[in-house]
Amino acid sequence: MTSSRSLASSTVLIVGCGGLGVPAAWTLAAAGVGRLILCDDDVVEISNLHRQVLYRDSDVAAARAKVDALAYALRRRFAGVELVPVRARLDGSGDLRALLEGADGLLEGTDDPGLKFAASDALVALRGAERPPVGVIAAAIGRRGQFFGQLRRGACFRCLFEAPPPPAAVASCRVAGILGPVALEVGALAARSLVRLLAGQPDAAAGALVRLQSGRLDRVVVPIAADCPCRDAGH
Amino acid sequence: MAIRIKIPTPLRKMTAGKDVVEVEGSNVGDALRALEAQHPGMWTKIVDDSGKVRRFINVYAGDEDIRFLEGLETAVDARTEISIIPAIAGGV
Repeated sequence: MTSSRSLASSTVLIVGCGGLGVPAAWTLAAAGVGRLILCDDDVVEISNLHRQVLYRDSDVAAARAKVDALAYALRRRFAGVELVPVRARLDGSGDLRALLEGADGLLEGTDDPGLKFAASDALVALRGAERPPVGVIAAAIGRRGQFFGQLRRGACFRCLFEAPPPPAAVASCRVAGILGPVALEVGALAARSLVRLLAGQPDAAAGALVRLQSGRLDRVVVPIAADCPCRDAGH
Repeated sequence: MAIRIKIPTPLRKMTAGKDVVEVEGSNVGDALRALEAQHPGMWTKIVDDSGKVRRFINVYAGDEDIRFLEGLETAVDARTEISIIPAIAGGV
């Protein structure tokens, strides 16, 4: 860690407080990030408990919002972290950009493929800001996961994938399943990468896609696509 | 010599669970057609009706995204490993 003091003054927006967002939030709080904005619109369900390990049976019984339950769990363990629960379903890059303004980092871990592109677009739109945020965009399903680290310059998520998969190709974890430890591992690794990006340190996910499959990690570096709008953003 | 194609987890049900398939070919397109010959249905999972790699899938030749090389015409040899990388569509 370059400076725990600078992390302590950092704000990270976590979009999606499910299987990835829960371990990511824990990892970021444990690393010393001073302020976490938690965004999700779901309530805690019993099917979440095996992998979203900070939620409790009582949260299910109370149909508690995930953002409130997560803020409660983190507050008990990390008293110094400022927690801002935002119960909302984000609809696009405009919503995301509004929440992200003033933040230093973004951790996207929702089940919405379109939101991953929106997250990338919001990061690109803020490249001209005085203090542009960095981000990590993560996904997991079954026994595999992947995450991409988006820097203040260089390739964005649209350079990596040109478009979201069609709805017919999208499988939710509700349908396809998710191995709990895989979600925990991907969420924690994605957050660890974000901490390093915030600190300006080299990381495997910096401008690259890190993949976990069959228990192995690999990475592919993502070049800037010639026709991607991110090429000129912020310059 | 054979070219190795790394098969991502969601497509392994079409390769009887194999994570690597060896094929012959002088460019990426040839290699993928050879993959289709061995495991029918793979081509349309990777390539759309207009003959381009689907927009939510990337194909790498070694460490290089073929979109930034010659696309499916990108030359390969036995030292080249081809990787198929789909976006994970689901979430948690």
